[in-house]
Amino acid sequence: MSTVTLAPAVVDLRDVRVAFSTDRGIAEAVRGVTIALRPGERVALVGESGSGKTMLGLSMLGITPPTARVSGGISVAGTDVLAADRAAMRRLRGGTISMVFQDALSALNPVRTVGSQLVESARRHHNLSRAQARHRAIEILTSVGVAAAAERMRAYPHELSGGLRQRVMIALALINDPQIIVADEPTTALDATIQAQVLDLLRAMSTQTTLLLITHDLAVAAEVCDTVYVMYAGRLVEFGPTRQLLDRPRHPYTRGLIAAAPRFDARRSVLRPIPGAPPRAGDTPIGCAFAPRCPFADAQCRQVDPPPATITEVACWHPQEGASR
Amino acid sequence: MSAMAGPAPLASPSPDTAARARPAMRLLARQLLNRVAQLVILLFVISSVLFVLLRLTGDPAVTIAGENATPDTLAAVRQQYGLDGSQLHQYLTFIGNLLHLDFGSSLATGQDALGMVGAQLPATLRLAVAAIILNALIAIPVGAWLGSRRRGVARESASFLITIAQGIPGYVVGLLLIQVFAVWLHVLPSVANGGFTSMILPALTLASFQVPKMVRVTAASVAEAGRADYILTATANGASPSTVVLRHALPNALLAVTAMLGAQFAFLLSGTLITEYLFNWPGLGLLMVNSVQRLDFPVVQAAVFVTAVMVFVVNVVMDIVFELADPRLRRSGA
Amino acid sequence: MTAPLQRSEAPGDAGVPLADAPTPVGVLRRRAGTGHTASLYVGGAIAAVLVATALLSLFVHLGDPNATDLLGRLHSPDGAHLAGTDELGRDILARLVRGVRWSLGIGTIATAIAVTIGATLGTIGAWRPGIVRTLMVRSTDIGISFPFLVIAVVIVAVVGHGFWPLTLTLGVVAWPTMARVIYAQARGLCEREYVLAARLAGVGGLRSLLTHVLPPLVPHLQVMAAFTFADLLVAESGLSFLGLGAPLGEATWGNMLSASRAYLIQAPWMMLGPATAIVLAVLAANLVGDGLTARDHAKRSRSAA
Repeated sequence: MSTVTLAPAVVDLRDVRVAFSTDRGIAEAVRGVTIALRPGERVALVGESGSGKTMLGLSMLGITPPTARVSGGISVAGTDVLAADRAAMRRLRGGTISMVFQDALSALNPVRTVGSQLVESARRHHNLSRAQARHRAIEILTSVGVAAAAERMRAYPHELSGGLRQRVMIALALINDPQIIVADEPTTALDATIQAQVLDLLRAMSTQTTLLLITHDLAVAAEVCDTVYVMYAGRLVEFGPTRQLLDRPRHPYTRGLIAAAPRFDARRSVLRPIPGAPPRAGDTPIGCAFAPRCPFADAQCRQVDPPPATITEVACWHPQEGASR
Repeated sequence: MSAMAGPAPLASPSPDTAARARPAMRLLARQLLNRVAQLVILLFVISSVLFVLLRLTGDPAVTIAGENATPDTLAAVRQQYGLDGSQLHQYLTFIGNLLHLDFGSSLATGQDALGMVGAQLPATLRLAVAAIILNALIAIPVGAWLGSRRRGVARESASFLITIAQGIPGYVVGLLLIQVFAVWLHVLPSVANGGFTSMILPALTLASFQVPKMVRVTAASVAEAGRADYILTATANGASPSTVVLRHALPNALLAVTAMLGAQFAFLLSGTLITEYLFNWPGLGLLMVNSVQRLDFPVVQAAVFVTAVMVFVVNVVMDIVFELADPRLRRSGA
Repeated sequence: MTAPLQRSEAPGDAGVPLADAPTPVGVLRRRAGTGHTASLYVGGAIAAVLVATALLSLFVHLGDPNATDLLGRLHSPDGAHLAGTDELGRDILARLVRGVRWSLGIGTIATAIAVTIGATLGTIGAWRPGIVRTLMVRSTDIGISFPFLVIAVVIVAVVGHGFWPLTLTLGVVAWPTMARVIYAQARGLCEREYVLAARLAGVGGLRSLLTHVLPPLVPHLQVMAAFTFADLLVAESGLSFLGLGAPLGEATWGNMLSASRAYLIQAPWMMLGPATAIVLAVLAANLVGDGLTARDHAKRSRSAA
């Protein structure tokens, strides 16, 4: 481990597992992930759908589906999420750690004004009068770039444009000054121009807030975050500072992701997707989960799980050296 | 969707609310006219069908005068009730009278048919309103509770009980209620006597026609609302389970339930036939049953006519209420 | 949650909530394995018992429903008369058994009529746009939104009492709801690509209807049939209860309930017998419908997973 510890982790995940019981047995969506977030860090969690990244994010707030069984160590701002009682968790959620969801249209209550939803959250976590909470809501809306915030408070979610809605979602996450924000694919549902603005917003957040950006898009991760963790089939396969990871990716999967990204310079004319598909939770093969799709896999890869990325930074028997291009 | 540039001000502020309302009103008025036109056609069709049907039961004159009437009596009856003349003539007269809302006189009592219906209608409406209120009071809380339960003993056994309850027809419920409360316990009257207490059993019986279904619908709506993404957002912001259900899930769920309530009105009217008959409640249902038993056609026609109008009015009102209630529908356009 | 039978989903439809349609079951019986077939088995078992009783009574003498015994009237249940005797001394159990035949008979045939007419017209309306469809939608609009008992009562006044008039009346009252549900389902199916592909390939209208549209509808038809049967059972006994159904004196559950009114104080068993019978029969039909719906959902979600 090469990181120098300057401050205690504000989010400490140790060997976190999230499992579901299905007709076919136990399926693990997250298979032992260890991550530590320091205060003020901007960390990206990158992976395809099905990699377990969303479940990991939900587990940090303790809002995984009721059928999920979460195990391991989850410590958020000093609180043990798995051991905390319900009242403590409710104080945590929205107050200390908050989440921004992907689709603001379905994530906001359609029959209530955006203002009332903001006010509700503010009053829940701080002892504010309705007027004070309204004031705070208008303040936060303005700070995320919503003009005429006071009027907008009276709007219903469907009356706002996609970009505005997402700003409201971010405002909802920021309104109580949380220490940690988990953003799950915050820009996936938006078009490119709006995406850029929302990313600007995330980047401009106070340096005291820790950001965990969950995304499938490496480019988004690169724009905002200093550290990237790559997840595949419920496990971490590689992590490291963004620049380093993008310039010299070592895990074949990461290399595949970078190579697969469409590029507009003349040299590349063919899209190079990673062949095959990721395994479904519960169907992970013995040995390295990526082996079936990996051009460098050998017998060892197919039989033995590589050591977890916490020990070696790359969970691979044959990490590749050299630049990705 | 206007493009935005950085932190600069965004799209133009939302249109003035009053300006949005005017096109909405016009649209509403147009829809209303449409519906009224449909109603008129409907009434015309129903009345004509009734006219034909009732002639099919045999010679109405014979029905009135009796099987053993002499030809002279029959002729007199025909003349009195306008049953002479060709069928077409009778039909045109019938339609003409209809436009004046003249349904003729009751074959049993001689009173104006429409008048009789009008006299009995308030009692039915009172009973119906009581039943709807009871229905809402019982079904919504139980349904909300059921819909927010996780799989488990409580939920499965409650749902099984509701299935059984759904299988108990209204007249069985009524009879059981009478048996328990009137016969064995002597606390409630089993026959209408004008007093308030005599409304309790009939209202409960009438409500029982719809309560199990209402519970199911409410439970399903609450459960569906509970699976929505905004519920996760609320929970992610620290909302307690009761807040989630009461302030987030239920308002959304009630939209569907309210729509259902309107649709249930027709079933309610079906139920009044049986309930009023069982408790001798002097309403439209009892009048209809008695009139049909006596083959008193003018009254039957008037009653069916009024029923159709009532159902129509309730449907229109419910549609308007639904449109106003759901913010997503409160738009100025289509 | 998919409750396809509760709301009409067809595009361009009036969106009338189908108040008579089966209740949503997904909320209550999603247990993998036991839960959702339990209701099917229990309902099926009760139904089997009733059907067996009915069939048996055709061949074996299970007591005379019409034998009066004025000396033994209004006897509470005992060894000789397991369900007691009624106001004319007739054995109630024997009358209940005869009632099974009546109710099952009317219920089955009326449901069959409603299903046949409803499914046919609903499918045709879904298949052929234009006048045919508008006509079907408008006429079923009336059929669904009007109180069915009122219609039934009026028709019965015209056609008279008795087994066949009652059956026809009930079939006529029930088909609109069935038609609308099938219409909604069929609309969705007709617009599926594979149907359009078949038509482009030259497969005739009737053939593509029969091979592509009808088979997926069968589960829905089964469920609707179960619930319609339950509703018609209730409607038939309701009509008899009002004195507008079975001829007086005929041993049917509705008649027996009606007669029991006058004797609630002296002979409560006169009411309890037919009440139990009706509740059991309706419960069986509802359970079967619930079970079929759950099984259908399970199949659907398994194939989509």
